[in-house]
Amino acid sequence: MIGPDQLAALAIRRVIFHDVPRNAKGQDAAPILSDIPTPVDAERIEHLKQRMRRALGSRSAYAIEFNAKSPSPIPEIVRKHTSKAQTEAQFVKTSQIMANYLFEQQVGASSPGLLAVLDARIGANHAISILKLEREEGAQLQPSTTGKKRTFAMSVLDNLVLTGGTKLFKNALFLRTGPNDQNFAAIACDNQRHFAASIAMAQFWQKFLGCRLREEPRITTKKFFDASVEYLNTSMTDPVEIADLYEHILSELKAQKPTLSPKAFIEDYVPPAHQQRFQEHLVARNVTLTQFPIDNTEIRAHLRRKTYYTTKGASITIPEKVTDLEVIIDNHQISLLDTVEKVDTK
Amino acid sequence: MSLEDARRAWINDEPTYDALGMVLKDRIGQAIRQLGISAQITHRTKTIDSLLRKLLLKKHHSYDTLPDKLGVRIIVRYLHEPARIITALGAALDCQEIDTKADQLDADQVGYRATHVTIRLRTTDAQATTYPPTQYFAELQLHTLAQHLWADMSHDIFYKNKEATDTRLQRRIYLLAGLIEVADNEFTRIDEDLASIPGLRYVLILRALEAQYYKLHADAGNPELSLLIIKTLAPLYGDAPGDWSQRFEDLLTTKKHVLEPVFASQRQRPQERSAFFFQPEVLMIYDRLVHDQYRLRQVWNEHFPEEELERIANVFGYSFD
Repeated sequence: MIGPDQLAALAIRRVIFHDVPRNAKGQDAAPILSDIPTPVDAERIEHLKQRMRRALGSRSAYAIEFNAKSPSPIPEIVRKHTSKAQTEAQFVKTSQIMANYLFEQQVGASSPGLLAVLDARIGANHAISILKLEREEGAQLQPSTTGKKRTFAMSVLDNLVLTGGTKLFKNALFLRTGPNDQNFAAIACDNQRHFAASIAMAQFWQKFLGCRLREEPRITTKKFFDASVEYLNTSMTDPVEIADLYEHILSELKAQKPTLSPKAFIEDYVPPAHQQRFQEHLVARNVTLTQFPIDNTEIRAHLRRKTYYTTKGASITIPEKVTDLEVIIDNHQISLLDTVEKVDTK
Repeated sequence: MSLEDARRAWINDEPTYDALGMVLKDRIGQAIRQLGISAQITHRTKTIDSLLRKLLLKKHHSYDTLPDKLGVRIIVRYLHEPARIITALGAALDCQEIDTKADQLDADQVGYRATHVTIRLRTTDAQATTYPPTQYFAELQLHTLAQHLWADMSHDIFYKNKEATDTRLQRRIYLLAGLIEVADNEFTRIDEDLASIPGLRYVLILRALEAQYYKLHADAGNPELSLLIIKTLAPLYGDAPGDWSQRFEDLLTTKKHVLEPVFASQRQRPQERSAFFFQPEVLMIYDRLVHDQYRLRQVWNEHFPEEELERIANVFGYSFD
């Protein structure tokens, strides 16, 4: 898991940029590859680290893992690159393979952009970060030449990455945590558009990376629901707060939006006195705090409600899956055996 | 060795001694940080004039045996701290000829009370081949702030010119040394008494923070700002916050791997770091970032600029986005 402790320890050794245009049919485009890393001063490295921590620690970030079924060469490249310290030439070669593969994939509506590859470390562990920086179509960036080697100047970093208001990049960070091929922690983020607003864009990024979400969305959704309901049943006492939070849980999961960020949910809906404990409860139940796609397959019955309307205008709505509640309908007369907790007068 | 030879030798050797001074400062700094003591550590090499004058006046010394060609000074706040530092330095450096000037004063005498030690790198030190302990050494002076004041003020008029100074003037300077000793004793007693005064809750929290903070960074922050922030954040710990010292000691123990590199990195970034960073209560802020981030943000934003907290959070790996 990549969390605050890991992001705080992020160190960047080298940065390289490659310009990757759209691979449009019938057009004679090709990536402009750097031959050497961009020389970056300590101040810009620090700014870059700040931007990465903001993005990868944000509510928009999501944990990923290598997808064994993916044809992408990126997982193998990442495994090899992080197996030991790489020379500058090896790093350049690695990044060029990534850029060429991105160009192959960048067909159709995909945006052109700069691919930035960062040779990184977290503590003693090798890491690699891959960023795609979107640029305007036609606004091609001119590389400079140092000796006979081509590279992009530091100003690229200033213009596309470090500008405070820029939200232009897709980002992924792979951290090797052990010697085996599966010993990785990885996190991704798509800041160009909110993950929620464009599943397709996020899917393109995951496909390029050869990754998938670390946990199936239906499982994450169920874990979030179960842990949240468990918390309000065991740790909250105010009936009004319990009812309100339950309503928010249901409405977020039933809303017409594709993702949910527990971190944002806590900020927006959990009473302040419970926010930290609710978060710790989710963490204790292995529920991610970063966003995940909502898939209600496993909890559909919990979300459904049945409403009884009476001839005199009353209505009773009850969760369909609550089993310890007795509703007796006898000769069209309805009786409900439960205890009143609050009364809303509207 | 003639004076002319000594002059040439010192012109040649001085840069090496200056570099050794930096190494010794580093070793001393590391040892003192582990104690959580706030200390100013400085070093200086003798000027050529001063070196030659001393060789002229101190005939029993030669160029090679002159003890203070390189001088290192440690200034601390409280009387009980020098002894702890000497003990800690024993593990980091080769300390010899520990000369506690106060021990040489009779009960009816007052005067210079600092501790002088001859220090060398240990033979196992990574730099010992560059600065062989058999050849290179320095004189360490360990003062309290008050002792330093007296030593500094009386230096030219008394310490170096005892013979020439008027006896009435000497007595006035000695009386000041007595006054300084009283001040040192009082400051130390006040420091000890603080712990037993119930109304000084926030001061006690600051002391608990300082004890850990000085393990990470030598310079003190602004105490007025410290108390303001502590007063703001203390309610986040509830009515039974427990032992503050233990809490922050535990924080440093469990998060040392985060705190040490972050502090080292922030020292390099004076232009970008938060103005609130190099303050002891940054440990309290970090503690709440880890354990109570939502309420921390709420309370902080009511009193201080949000961007400053965000800067601190970012360097510790937290994002508010």
